Amino acid sequence: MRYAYYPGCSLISSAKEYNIATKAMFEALGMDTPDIEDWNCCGATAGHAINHNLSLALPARNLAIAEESGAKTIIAPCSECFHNLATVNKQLRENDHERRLVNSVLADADLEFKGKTEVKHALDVVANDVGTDFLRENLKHDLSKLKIAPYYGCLVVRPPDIATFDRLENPQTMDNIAKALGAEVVDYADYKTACCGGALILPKEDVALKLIKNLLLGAKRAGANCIIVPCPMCHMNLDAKQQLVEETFGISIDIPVLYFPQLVGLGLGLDPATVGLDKNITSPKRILDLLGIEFTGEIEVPGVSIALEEEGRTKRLVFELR
Amino acid sequence: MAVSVQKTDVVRLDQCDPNFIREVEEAGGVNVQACYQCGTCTGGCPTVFAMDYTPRQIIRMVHLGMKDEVLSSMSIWVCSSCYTCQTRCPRGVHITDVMSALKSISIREGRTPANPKGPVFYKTFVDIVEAYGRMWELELSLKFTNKAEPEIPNKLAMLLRDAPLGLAMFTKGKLPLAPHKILNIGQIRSIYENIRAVEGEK
Repeated sequence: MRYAYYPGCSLISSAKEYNIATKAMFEALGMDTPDIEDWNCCGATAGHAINHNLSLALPARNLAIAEESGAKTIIAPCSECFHNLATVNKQLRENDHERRLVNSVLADADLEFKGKTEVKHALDVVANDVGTDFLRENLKHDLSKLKIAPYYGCLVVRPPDIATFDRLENPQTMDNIAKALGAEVVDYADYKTACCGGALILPKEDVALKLIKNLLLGAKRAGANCIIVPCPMCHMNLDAKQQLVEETFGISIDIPVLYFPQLVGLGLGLDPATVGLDKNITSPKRILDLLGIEFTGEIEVPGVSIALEEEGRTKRLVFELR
Repeated sequence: MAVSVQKTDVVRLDQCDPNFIREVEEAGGVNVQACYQCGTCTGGCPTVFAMDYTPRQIIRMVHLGMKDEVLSSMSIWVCSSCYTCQTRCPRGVHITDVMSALKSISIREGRTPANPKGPVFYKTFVDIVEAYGRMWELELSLKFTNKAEPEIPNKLAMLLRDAPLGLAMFTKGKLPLAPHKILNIGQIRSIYENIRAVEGEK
């Protein structure tokens, strides 16, 4: 077995469509990518903020399990997971003190980190292991009507000792994938590696919303009709929080945000539901119409508005179903 | 020429903690002493507009041992861990990791944070991971909102505001109503317990 797949927590809940699309894409590419057995959370940014050793030990358990299974390469589709797994893999290989400490922490679980696997982001695997030539040769559906803003975010390009597979300031892997699928890529260089605020959307929402607004407006101004991303946190902010940005700043955005494997899947001829496009929050119907692809399996979300109305001293909750 | 110095601009070295820099390094802040104050970190920081001290200032304050000022700053809770500063630093200072180290020291010491929602978020997150081995977003968002908004009307307002998105995510099968607990949860518990024991020995 060559690859082991680490979905990460987002991909089994809020980023389910990323998991569906990535697995469908790998299947269509003829790759076998079994999950790491009984994987656990990598600790995300919270692990680092609580305790350095915890932020080493949580990813290390996953690395040790993958090693034991004989995997050579771990694929992580989430940028935060990729960052944590790859950082710990490197740090524990190089730092004997930290490796001994982590292995003593893992000993009760009967696990040992040996440093025998490598960790790759799913974007790296598609761009470099599969290659854009392969995508071009297997293109089933022309995507030339799409004008794409490729948003890379932070952790697929930074820090440079961990994220080594693309250029730091003006990355190209997603650009090249989109071009290989026939799509047009707009000039998004000013924003493609700018921060979306990440997890700050909970503890410091006002700051995150400003950053998200800049990214969305930047894509609009560049003339994009679609944004693609390689990370569930980026997607949460740009897709799910898009309406909140519109309401907060009184602006209109309405731009579909796709995970890059959803785009690859469409290009390879998979139908929208097979790549989870029914689960995106900002509806991708507009671009599917543009491409002449029938939106099978669109999920109707009951429209609901809830408001607190005040009339003098009485307050009442108003629910409205549409 | 007489120079008048505002009292607030004076760094009182007798009130500084010379061990602070060591503490930050131990908590993961690699190379913090290598900084030569060029300010490249501040220049590239996407959230500096919301900070009270710039990243460059925070690093200098760590050098000087201004522990109380650093740990009560807003800056450490506004850092989004995007790694732009760390990537561009010509001296190899792990600035983002320093920021994380400062958050962890602040939480460990139970300091009063400039943004109380920061520690609430991170603590709630790792507690959920300890319970199930994986994140459960529904519990995270409910517990976070409950703890981060102490006033009941604010709690309600936040829950109401986010309800339509929650409903959309639920309808699309993206908001599981039960956690995905891992099979060997005992292993996660032992990892947490062993980490606590290691930290206790310090």
